[in-house]
Amino acid sequence: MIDPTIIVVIFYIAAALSLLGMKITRANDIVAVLATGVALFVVIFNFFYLPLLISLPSLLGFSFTVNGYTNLIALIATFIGFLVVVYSIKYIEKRRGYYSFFVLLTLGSLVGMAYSWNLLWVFLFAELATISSAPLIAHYLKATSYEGALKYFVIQIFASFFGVVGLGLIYQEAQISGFAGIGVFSIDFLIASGLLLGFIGKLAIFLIFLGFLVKVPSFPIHTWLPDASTAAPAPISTLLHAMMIKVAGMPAFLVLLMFYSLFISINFWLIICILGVLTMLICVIIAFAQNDLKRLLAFDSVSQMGYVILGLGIGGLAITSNTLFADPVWLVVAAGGIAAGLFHLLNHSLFKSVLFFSAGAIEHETGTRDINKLGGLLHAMPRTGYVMLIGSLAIAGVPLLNGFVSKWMVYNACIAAGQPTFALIAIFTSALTFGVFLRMLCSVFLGHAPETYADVHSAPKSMVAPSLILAAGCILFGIFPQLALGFLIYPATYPLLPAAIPPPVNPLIWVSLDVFLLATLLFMGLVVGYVLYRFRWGVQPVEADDKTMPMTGGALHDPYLKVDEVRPSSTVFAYPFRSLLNSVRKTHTGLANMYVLWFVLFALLLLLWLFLGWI
Amino acid sequence: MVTLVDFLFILGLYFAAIGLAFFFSWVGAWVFRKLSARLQARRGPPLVQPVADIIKLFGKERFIPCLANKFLYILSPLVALSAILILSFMIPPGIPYWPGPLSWDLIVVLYFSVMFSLAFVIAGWASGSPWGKIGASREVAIILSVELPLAIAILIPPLALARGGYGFTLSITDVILAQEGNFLWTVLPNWFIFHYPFAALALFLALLTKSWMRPFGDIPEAEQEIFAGPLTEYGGPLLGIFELARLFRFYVFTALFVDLYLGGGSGLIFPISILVFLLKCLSITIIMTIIHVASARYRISHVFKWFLTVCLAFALISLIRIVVGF
Amino acid sequence: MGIMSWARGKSPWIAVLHAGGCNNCDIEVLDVLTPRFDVERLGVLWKQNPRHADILITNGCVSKHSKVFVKRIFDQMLAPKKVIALGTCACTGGIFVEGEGANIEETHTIVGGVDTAIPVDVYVPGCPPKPEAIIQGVALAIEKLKQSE
Repeated sequence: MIDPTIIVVIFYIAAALSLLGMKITRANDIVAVLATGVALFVVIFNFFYLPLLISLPSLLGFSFTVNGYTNLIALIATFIGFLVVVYSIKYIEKRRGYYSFFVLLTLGSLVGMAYSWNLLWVFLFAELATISSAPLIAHYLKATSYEGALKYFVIQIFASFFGVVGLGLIYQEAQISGFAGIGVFSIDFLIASGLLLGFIGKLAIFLIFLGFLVKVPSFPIHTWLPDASTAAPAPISTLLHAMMIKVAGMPAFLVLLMFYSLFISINFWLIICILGVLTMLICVIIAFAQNDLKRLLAFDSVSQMGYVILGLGIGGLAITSNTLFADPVWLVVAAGGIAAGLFHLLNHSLFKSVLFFSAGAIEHETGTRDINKLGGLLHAMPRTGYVMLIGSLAIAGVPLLNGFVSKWMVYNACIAAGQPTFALIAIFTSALTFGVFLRMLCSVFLGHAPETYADVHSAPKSMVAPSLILAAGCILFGIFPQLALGFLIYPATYPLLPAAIPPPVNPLIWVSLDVFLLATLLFMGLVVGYVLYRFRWGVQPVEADDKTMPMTGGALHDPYLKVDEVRPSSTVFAYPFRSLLNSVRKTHTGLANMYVLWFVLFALLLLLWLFLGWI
Repeated sequence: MVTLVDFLFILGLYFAAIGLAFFFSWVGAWVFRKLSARLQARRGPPLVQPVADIIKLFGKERFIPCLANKFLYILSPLVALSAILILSFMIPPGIPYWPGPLSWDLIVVLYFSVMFSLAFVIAGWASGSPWGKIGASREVAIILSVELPLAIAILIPPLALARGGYGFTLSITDVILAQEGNFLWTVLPNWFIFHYPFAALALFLALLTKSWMRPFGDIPEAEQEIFAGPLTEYGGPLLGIFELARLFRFYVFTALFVDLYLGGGSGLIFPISILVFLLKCLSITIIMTIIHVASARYRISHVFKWFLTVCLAFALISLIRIVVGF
Repeated sequence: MGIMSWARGKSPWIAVLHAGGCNNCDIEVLDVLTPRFDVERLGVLWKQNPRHADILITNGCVSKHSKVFVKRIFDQMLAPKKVIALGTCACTGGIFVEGEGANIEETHTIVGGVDTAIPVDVYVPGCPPKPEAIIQGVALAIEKLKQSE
């Protein structure tokens, strides 16, 4: 057991060092890689001591808790952080000196946030991470980057206002003054003392939930994420999508699940599930109409977070049903739903960072992100292309990749909880995601390369290697999901389940799906096909000049249909949703003021609903 | 996890199921071609025709188009074949149940059917032909529009079982076994098609489209407009593998319908059940063929309109019945 | 001879190519697909795609303009492949060229029969040939297909 305080301290010391040597880029890189590497090692090391479930001794109420859940979130933070730092070495060669400083500060704050089991410290670290990541989004110092960073910042500040009010209400409930009272914000203390059982306590937790829901982000308040990630450099987009929205967003559901006794209402959890369903469905439809590679990925990110919200919402629904009806079946459903949500969280951080790393590599090599201009890059950038193929198929839920398993778990949890409608909408969303990513893949990688990109070559090794590692992870968790589930996910579900559920509730019942057997059979089929293909049937090939020419029709030099003219355009793909997309276009004005107004209205609506008693 | 003996047993079962499925699909494909010919007052091909076509294609020359991506060009037919082989293994052929761990999940069946279509899409784009690209785009459009009604219609039998106090299940075997016995004063067999006729209709339309039959299904390979769609640049053994995969569709999609809504081979002893199952599959194939021959091809935008309004409405009628519970 | 030869004989897929001339033979080919003649009983499938086809039925004389395409479409077919020259124009150039027998001369637009562009296996003369003759030509091509390596 190594105290995670060390990680945070290492990150802050490294940040200070890189600030001292901000002129020496190479030294900055070495410090950053070393710091993240050590942090990653510590987090992985701590996984072997998980059964101890330790709360470390506190100083002024500041303490870290190491359990399965915090360690999983910290693993996502440090692992993606390490790869982001490695990726940045080549991606931003002429960088501004404070780049490393802010990256390390953000990472340190996020790790601190992941390990904190105290609402005040979670909040403070979240604020520090927000403040230190805003300059990174504006790194290019262009008008659009300022706009993205500003939008990000303004909406986050409005969100933290709700958090401040929530924390203030808790402070007032506790009737303690002075600096020593920080300990009352500890989640364990709040549960044990029963301090929050009144209406004020419920209001406080709900406000904190709202504050962190913006960082997830959920449907009506997702608007900051696409703008911020489009403006930011690719490693920072990865940092935002693959870990920040998870590490900084998960406290929303952490408080809901830990204080489940405040939210014993089927309606409440149904609304959370509906929020997840709306998030996944609407954002994936918006992703259809995007032509900017990063915006497409960003909207799809929001949509994938819908699966996480749905899985955790089903978990909460099952916990509530267990409390109301006292049927032990619901405990299994709860464990399954929460495991599904967390597994999709982990998977999403794997394949979304693959996709953002690859998108960054494409932008780095070709100088554009417009998928209608790109084409045929699989020939020029084979490694990036195949890695992106794996990432896209994984996110679309193609069997034998990790996205399939977690989505399958979400569907099963929904159906087992008696909400098949959610499962059906999630399946439909999965099909739409498939369409979005096929359009992107076909347009960018397959087909014929325009002459503009004739001299494009592969991205540098340090930009390809991170995505290779992550893609290998996608395949590994897709064929052996038991590895991830047994080692990472199930330890993480225990702290989130009510104490009434004993750890022996074996969630392995959820892996009745034997993916390895499926993989073997699929491989058998591939072998059968390949044998049929390679078998010498005894025919002599004929030599001919034009044998391999594509059939384009018409004249040789002026074909009826040019090969690179055909593209999967958004107008064809998004045809059934065009009226919806038109209304979306009207509402997504791009004004931060409008988006803040949405958020305030949404929050007021939910608060009104709270005051009406979750009708 | 399974032990080694179990694994070898499963492997043997896999090849046995493939053999049976190949025989069924051979008969189905022949019935399709012969019946289309007879409906047009022609004589039609002999029984060996589907097999002769595939063997001949294997005996042709191997080649790779100059604009194709070599790896994906070769991989996609293999993926199509292995996806459809797994599907034909998962869907029980009239034997009331597969043993033990092989009671497959319907969501997995749904996903592998999408994987089968995915192979055609990748094939069309990787072969570097403009016709292939157009065909692949149309295939994606068809996947998108068909997926929602298909998912609802496939999941309605297990949901109905869960609603009826049968417990949470997604396995095909449970669905087949639940259809034994009689219903409605023992007049009708206890098949889901009589309980949920609209969902059955939605599933039938979706499977018709997935089998590339008119009025919607052959839009991706419309030969009057775009040669052979995704398969335009394919020839020789790789086309043979694609044709083999398409041959299996005559079994897989009809068998799915029969297992879910027509009772499979339930309630009968082993050899007779397979025979009855084959007859049920063939009758579905015959209905599909008649619709295929009798109708013209719709435009791609009509597919969206039909499946996301009419067909979805059919599926939703049954879903609402289950969710509301009457 | 073996299973492959049997399969080739049972399943000849055809593509029809109109190279030039008056289009009559092109229309006449459609007759063999009608209920009265139905070549599908021989296993013939109408694939308008040279990549899939085993037998190329060409009709019409080859013009200077179309020679390239006839050659290219023949190249795009995969071995084993056979070519049927359908109609007098496809056999010799017909009324569109000058001269007789072996002494055919090019005109300013027309090169001659299909064999000036690609090797032909079966000649079916006629203006246009009767459907029975076309079917016989296909049957002869099938026989040659069976013999091919």
